[in-house]
Amino acid sequence: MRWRGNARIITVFLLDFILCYLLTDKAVQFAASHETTMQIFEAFIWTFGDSNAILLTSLLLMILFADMPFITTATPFYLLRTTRRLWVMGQMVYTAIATMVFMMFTLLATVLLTMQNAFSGNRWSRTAAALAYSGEGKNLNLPSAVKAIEMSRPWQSMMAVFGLVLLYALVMVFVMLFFNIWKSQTMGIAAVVIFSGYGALLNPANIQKVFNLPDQLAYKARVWVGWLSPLNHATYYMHNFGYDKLPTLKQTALLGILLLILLLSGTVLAMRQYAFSFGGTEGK
Amino acid sequence: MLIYDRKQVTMVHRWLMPAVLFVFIVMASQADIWTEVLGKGQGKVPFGWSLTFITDTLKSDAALLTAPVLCAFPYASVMIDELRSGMVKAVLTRTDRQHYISSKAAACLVSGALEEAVSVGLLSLVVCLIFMPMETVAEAGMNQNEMVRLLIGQLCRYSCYGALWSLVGLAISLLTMNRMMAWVGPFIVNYLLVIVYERYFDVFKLLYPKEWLLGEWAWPMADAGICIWIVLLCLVFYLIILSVGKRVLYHTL
Repeated sequence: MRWRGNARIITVFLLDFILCYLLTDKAVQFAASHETTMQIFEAFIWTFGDSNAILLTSLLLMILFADMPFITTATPFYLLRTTRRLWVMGQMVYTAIATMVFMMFTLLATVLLTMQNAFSGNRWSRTAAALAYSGEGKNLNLPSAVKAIEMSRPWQSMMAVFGLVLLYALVMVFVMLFFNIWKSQTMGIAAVVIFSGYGALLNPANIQKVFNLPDQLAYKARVWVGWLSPLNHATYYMHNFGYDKLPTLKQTALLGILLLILLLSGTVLAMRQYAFSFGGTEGK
Repeated sequence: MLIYDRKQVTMVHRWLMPAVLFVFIVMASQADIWTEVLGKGQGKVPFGWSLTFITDTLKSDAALLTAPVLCAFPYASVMIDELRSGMVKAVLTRTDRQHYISSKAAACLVSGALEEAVSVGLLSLVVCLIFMPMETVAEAGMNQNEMVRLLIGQLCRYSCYGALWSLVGLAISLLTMNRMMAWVGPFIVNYLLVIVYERYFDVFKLLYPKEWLLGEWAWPMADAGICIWIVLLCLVFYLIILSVGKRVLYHTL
């Protein structure tokens, strides 16, 4: 798919930039009101340490890949010269690279939006300390967890958060591609909506409220949800930093990669049965 | 304005649906306030609460977020639709290109202004019908003249705001030749201007769209000053639409 001059692609990236502005606004306002600076990646770490933000950003990917698999007027000619399997693998490579570019843009957007009052050194700012130790982070829905701050530094945290969000986004788009190829485009979108909805519903706070769980059971539910929900796997502070039985970052990475391998193999297998439909106006 | 544009713009369904959506969204965003008031019962709501609630709601984040999107719904995509369907060829046998583009821009401007005015009017109507009867009786010397003046000022600002963003939607849809951009474009441009002002260059005060609706700074001539400024921006966008529209028609026909 051509990106240059494509209104949908430009729109998705601009909407992502606006979403980053809206999501980072709380952190920026907090720093401004306390007259403190921020580390340049802190806004990204806090913003995408929250499952709702990850969900919203990943849903923009649904618009970006709404027309998967990308069939153009040139596709019949490609298929004359290559196999279905190679063609679908090309689609996978494109999808993976596009997702990575999108997530890199998201990271860059948060950096650009907070750089006015930020430093690049690899140490936590006073704003982070204020958010984590005063408990105001919880009130503002900015998960600047003490355990995360004590266990790592901003650059390492940023890389971990970026890796987790990227892994979640990749799993989501490959779920979409798999169902697109296996069933239909509508089923692909429905699968993503169900996948995202499943993650959103399996929220520890929601479960505690709905079932009115006492704190001890709520902790157990939190651990279960940490393992069962893909969205919680993508959330940085929902990991084991040596305090609890939540999945570690390595375990999440392993699970994500396994899931990706399954989805990619499933897509290649489903490609055998895929019925191409060329309307003659593809790409218009 | 061409006769069929005039008829289309005044069709109730074009601006009523976005107006109802606007009222629904802003009332939902303020639900915690009005549900508490509803629980108080008859005669327990302070005098003047309804008008204060309306003016505050029109300054809420939900109102500021939805206003630039909804004003483009009624008419901003119509020119692209006519270009794509080929209807423009039939229309241009009866009028010239400049008149056609001007008519589309004027219709867009009127529809955007009308949609925002109806949104504010409908919100005022709903709130007044439900909550005014619950207000306590005014004591001697109490009146709501100032609040009514504020509300009329907001109505005018919202109308001008709607006209401008509707024109922006038309201009962007023509520039990109994309129907979706007529609706999403105003939202994007609106927020990019907000980001530029809030995060980078606070010298661009006049191009801060939130202020056009909030009216918190000391503008010369107050509400009228804001309206004049927005009308000037509309004029600039009219000229852009005229220039881009001529180029688009030249390439399309």
